[in-house]
Amino acid sequence: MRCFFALLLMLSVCQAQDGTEQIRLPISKEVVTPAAITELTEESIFVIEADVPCIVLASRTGFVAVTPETGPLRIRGKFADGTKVETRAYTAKHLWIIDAVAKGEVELLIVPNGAKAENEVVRRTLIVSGSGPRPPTPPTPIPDPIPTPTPTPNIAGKRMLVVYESKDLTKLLPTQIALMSSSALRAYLNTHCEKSSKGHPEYNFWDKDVDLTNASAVWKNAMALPRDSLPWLYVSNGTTGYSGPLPKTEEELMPILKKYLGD
Amino acid sequence: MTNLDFSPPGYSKGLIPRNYAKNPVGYNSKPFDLPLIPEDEWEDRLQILLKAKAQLSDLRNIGMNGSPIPSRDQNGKGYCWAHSTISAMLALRALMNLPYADLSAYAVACIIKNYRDQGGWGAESLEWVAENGCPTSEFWPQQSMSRSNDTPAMRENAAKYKVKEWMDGEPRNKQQLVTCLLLNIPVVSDFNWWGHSVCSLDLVSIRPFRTRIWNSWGDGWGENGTGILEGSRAIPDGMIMPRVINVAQE
Repeated sequence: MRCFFALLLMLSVCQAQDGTEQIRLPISKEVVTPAAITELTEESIFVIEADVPCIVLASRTGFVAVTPETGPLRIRGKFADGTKVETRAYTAKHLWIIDAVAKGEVELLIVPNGAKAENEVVRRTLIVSGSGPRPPTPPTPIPDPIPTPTPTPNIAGKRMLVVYESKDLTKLLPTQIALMSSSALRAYLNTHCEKSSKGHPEYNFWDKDVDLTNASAVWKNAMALPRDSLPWLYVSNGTTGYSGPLPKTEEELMPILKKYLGD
Repeated sequence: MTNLDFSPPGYSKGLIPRNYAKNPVGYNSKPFDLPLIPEDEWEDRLQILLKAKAQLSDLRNIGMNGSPIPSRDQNGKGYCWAHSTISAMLALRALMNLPYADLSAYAVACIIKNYRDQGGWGAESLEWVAENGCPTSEFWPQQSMSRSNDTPAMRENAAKYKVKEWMDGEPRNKQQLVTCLLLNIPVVSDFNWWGHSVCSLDLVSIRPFRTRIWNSWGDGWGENGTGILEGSRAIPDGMIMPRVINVAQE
């Protein structure tokens, strides 16, 4: 589970076409589930560096100050991911210095210029603390009775994807073949998945080898998500979701869908 | 069952039967490579699909923003052999839940036959589409024979809509046909008795043996452009089956 969320944290940066990260955030000392969270104390700073122009927003306002700077720049101070006062050399052209203003929890959203999809936005939660009391620790969630072997919040919005191998269709159960084309299931998905910019419901049943050249970024990313076997099901509500083998029947599938996409 | 008119006045066909001596199975495509579904499983599998309304025709009926995908219309030209491939691609797009794309089979037929009104066979068009794709009607209007349609922009658009994986079936192989239809793989079907190429969508019943085909004579023919073939007439003399197509979401 920690390995998975470490991977999730690594995926929370944008990558240039040559594989280098265009937006870089400090790596947390400790990865905390369910999302990457960093503590920002009164005396420390959180530095964001990017190779591309971005808009950096703090949601909610009033807890941090966001100061853009132009790099390259040497900065001396106590960094959120450091342990002592030190000097760091930042080489990126675009920098933002985040200072603590008031205690509380705030989410940073880093939006690259020209972003066209939700999954291009980088997010990080900061818990701004100081000499006063810390915000209460969120309660440990009660385990869900429905098995969710590998939660996958990394598909934006309410979407579903089934990936299969067409060469192995005869190995699928007849009930699995049927659920992939079921009229009732499609009617549900048409009303519960979000719509594309052209109004098309966002769910897919795709062979693992489809050519994705002309697919949207969100689906390219979804197809790249890990899976252990085929056919495989991904369901997401934008925050969390399900990733696991395709259930055997529509009756087994529907509770999973309703949990993340609604009744 | 509606009495179908297989030769209505004014409607053209265009099948030139494939010469399997000259162009044997696999000459230009990978041969059929799926394990066959045993005959003793056919009835149960069919009932499961029928109960879930989960056949290709069911998907066709909602495949255009909740409405039926319009049947292709070859409009008097002998281009059935191109339209059958495009019908199969439209069915696959619906299966994958890709948005409806008004693919224009005339582009395929015109370019292959150098703008002559000539017949062909289904594999001829599918193999060409695998290599070159098929444009939408935005770039090649339906039923247009104009050479001015062939532009770089059209070719670029066509390249988005290609067949990626397909299988070359054996002539008159009922088991291959049924295996595909029970797995919701559309079959580009050439029928010598009819002189026509269409897309087989569904297995309708086993005894009597019936399949549902999607014709390219517009929605006014048969039942919203589809019809039922029975017995030996339902088994194609030439078959080619696309099973994976490129993702194009615009």
